[in-house]
Amino acid sequence: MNPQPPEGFDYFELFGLEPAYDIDEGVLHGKYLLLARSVHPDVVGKASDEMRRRSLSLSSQLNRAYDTLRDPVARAAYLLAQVAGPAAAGDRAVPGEVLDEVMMLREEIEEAQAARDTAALEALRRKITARRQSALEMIAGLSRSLAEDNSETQKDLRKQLNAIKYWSNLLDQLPPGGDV
Amino acid sequence: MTSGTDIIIGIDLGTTNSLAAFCDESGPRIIRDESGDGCLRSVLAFSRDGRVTIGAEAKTHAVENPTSTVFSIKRLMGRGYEELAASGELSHLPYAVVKRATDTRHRDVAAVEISGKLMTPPELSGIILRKLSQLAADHLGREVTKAVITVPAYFDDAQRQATRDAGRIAGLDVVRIINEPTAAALAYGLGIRAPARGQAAGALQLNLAGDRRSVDEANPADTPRARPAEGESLIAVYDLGGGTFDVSILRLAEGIFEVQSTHGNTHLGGDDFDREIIELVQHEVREEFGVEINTPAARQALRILAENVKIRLSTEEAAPIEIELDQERRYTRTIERSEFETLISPWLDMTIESCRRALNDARATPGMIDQVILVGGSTRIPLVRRRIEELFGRRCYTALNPDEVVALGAAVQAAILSGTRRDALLLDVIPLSLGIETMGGAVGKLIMRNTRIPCRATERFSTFVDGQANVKINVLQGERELARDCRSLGEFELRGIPPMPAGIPKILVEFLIDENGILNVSAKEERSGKQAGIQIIPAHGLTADEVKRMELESYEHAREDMTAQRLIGLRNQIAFDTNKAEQMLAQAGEELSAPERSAIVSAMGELRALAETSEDADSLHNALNRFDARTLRLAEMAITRTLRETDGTGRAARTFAITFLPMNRRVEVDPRDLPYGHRGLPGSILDIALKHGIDLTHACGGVGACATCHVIVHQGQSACNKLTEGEADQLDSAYGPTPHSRLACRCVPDGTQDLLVEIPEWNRNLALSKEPQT
Repeated sequence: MNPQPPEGFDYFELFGLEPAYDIDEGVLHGKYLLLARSVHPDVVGKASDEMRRRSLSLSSQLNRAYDTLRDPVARAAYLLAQVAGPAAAGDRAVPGEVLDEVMMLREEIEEAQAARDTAALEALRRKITARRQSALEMIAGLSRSLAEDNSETQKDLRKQLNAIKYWSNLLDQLPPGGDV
Repeated sequence: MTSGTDIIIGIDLGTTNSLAAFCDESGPRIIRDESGDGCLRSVLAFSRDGRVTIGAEAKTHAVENPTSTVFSIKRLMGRGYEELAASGELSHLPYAVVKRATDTRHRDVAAVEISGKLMTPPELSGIILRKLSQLAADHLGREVTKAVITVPAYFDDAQRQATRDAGRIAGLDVVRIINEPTAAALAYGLGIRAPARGQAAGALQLNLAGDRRSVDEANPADTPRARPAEGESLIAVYDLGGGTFDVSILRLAEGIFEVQSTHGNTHLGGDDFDREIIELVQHEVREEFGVEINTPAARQALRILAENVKIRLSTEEAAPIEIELDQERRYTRTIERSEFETLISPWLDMTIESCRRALNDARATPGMIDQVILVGGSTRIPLVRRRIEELFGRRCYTALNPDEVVALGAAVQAAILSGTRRDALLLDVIPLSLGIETMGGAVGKLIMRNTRIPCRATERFSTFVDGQANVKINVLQGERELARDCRSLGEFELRGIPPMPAGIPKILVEFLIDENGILNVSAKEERSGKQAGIQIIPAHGLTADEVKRMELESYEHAREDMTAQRLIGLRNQIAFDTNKAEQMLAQAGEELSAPERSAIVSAMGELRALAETSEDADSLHNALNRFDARTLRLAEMAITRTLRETDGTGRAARTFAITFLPMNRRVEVDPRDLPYGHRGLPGSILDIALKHGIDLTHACGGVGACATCHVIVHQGQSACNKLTEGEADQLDSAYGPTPHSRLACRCVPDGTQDLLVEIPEWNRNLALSKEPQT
């Protein structure tokens, strides 16, 4: 998910967290519930249109902030945007080998679907899940060493964030897996 | 905050059944009618003169008037004619669905055609909602104008709007639309027990700690799906109703119900299982006899039969089918449960796949689920439970009544919104991705599925032509890549753009999904700062003006229908009260003077005559009140006499009466003469009827093994023994059961009240044909 420029408030600050890739999920969740309780339209009520508008606005901002920090990929992208600026999001570079492999896998998926080969589809699912996993591990590592002056790290992180989207999209096309 | 005196009720508007519920200090409870029934069958029967009957009585008309009996209207909500026709949905419906003529090419509104009149699905659902709110108003003794209405979690924007429109047409302010699985989770999480009929919902305790499970190998580097902390639990709600299926994964903590993900199918439900049986029968009849079962009447009858077979197969291993094709030919078949299971397996496979997708999206494995809650009548099918248990590796939670839990949850949410409860909050998600059509017919996704709501996305647009004043956007919902594979919510036209060269205006459009899961769009031209007007032409829904007009019309109709119902009720009451007065005269009349007696007799005659000729409910009501006032003294005397005549066994020796309709034959029974020794339980209605020459059909000999002695006890049901499971089962397969139905051979009056018993049409032929005997 491409985070849009922060809407005037810092997501980490909102939840009382240090801006870093590793966060305490429990603290994040607890703070979210607390804040949700104060701004949700059901609680604020329909006293006036203005109140409702504000409540909707605050709730959507809160939800966006929470969803961003909760998902490791979105969190990494957010950290990157803070350090490298919003322009970085426009960089669509992807590691070359990733594109090649994605195209190949796409063909294999289509063949397996046409042939209704569930075993092949399951094997593909495992393979792509593993690829996604590695991308995620790289994202984690790069995010941890992210610094304002290290443009190499920033570029690499950008590439991996772009790449993981392809893996996720491929997985979306496959039937959901058994519980492995 | 809404004012404290505003009542908000919760409504489950279901494909097969609808219910209303209300929550007060003692907790939520289903709103029931006088006979204790809370479920209103979602069936509408239209008579030729435009009157409409709703509920179980409507169902009895289904076979006689197949083209004017509407059921499962929920399956048509928010959908256009073209897509319905293409999906094959319409070929299963005996009533006619057409495309309503609309003003623009882009609109495609489906409507049901009854006797030349067109009614859209929201209007039809509105009739059901109006009846429910009237029931609630009667029960609560106050006007009801606000409601929380539930929808399947997987309903898209158009379907939600249609539901809200239906509410408006019914004169209800729909303060919130909530998802059915979330409502069920609310009922579960607050420890609300919804037990079998007759009992009140249990007291509330917070019930948030589920079983603790050991952590499965969730991938450590992937989202650390934190194990629920102390007092937290992860639950799955599997909701399989008549027409829709949803599965939701929720996290419960500190009274907050957070939906993690949801998946489903808005066209998968018990109706499809019925259709498997229907198609099997149609196929075999075609093969064996070369006969096509395709008249509307035959299809309605077959549908009712299939539904009964399906229900039977939940408790029995086999169910018989018998159809008389004509004078000579008969189709008989026994369907085994295993056969039925094979037929419905592909449908269940789809639901299990939905469960897996929801788990994936929630980044959970089946083993992490602490509790699986079942919602919807179809979850009573044994195979459904087995498949769910296989997937989650644990037994399902079945303490909640799957038919009532959603309405109860809705009532709790209503209480939260009206400020009378503060202990829970629902945080839901949008079930389907939202996007707009881009160049080349692709979809640019703006909001991903399972994003928590309220949520918002913005997008910028500009113009193509110098001075262009309007920009059109096609908004879509769905997961596919191409616009044509997604559902169009409608055309949004941004208007009033100040004249500028092409490409210069910067129109910022905000797409906001509110807490109901409904889309709100607003736009601003950034250079001028002007708010752009938005005209929304819904693809399959009604415009605001149309809804307003329909609301007024429906109010008028409701008044007419209410009058018709009132007339029927009043006429029955008059028959009852005059008969009772006759009896009391016989019993205690000698204590009155002769002029008093004849005054009562002539009043009786007048009232009866009025009941036959008058169509004015108000004047009948007044006449009845006057008559009752006049006979009050007589009634008092009769009671005093009764008390004096207690026969020492503690049981009143007074006689009681049963009035049999439609012959209007009043039979007096002295309890000391019972039992008469005819068929049926001793002292049962059948025993009494046979004694007095009313020959009620009783094919099984009166042992309660069939439904042919089915009668409708309009008055006095509370003075009879209670229904047993077995009797209820028989009645389920009877022809058109109503909430007042009983088997005459099983129903034993205790003599403390008079009864008004109707012999339904299909039993009358035999009952009327014989002469009275002793």
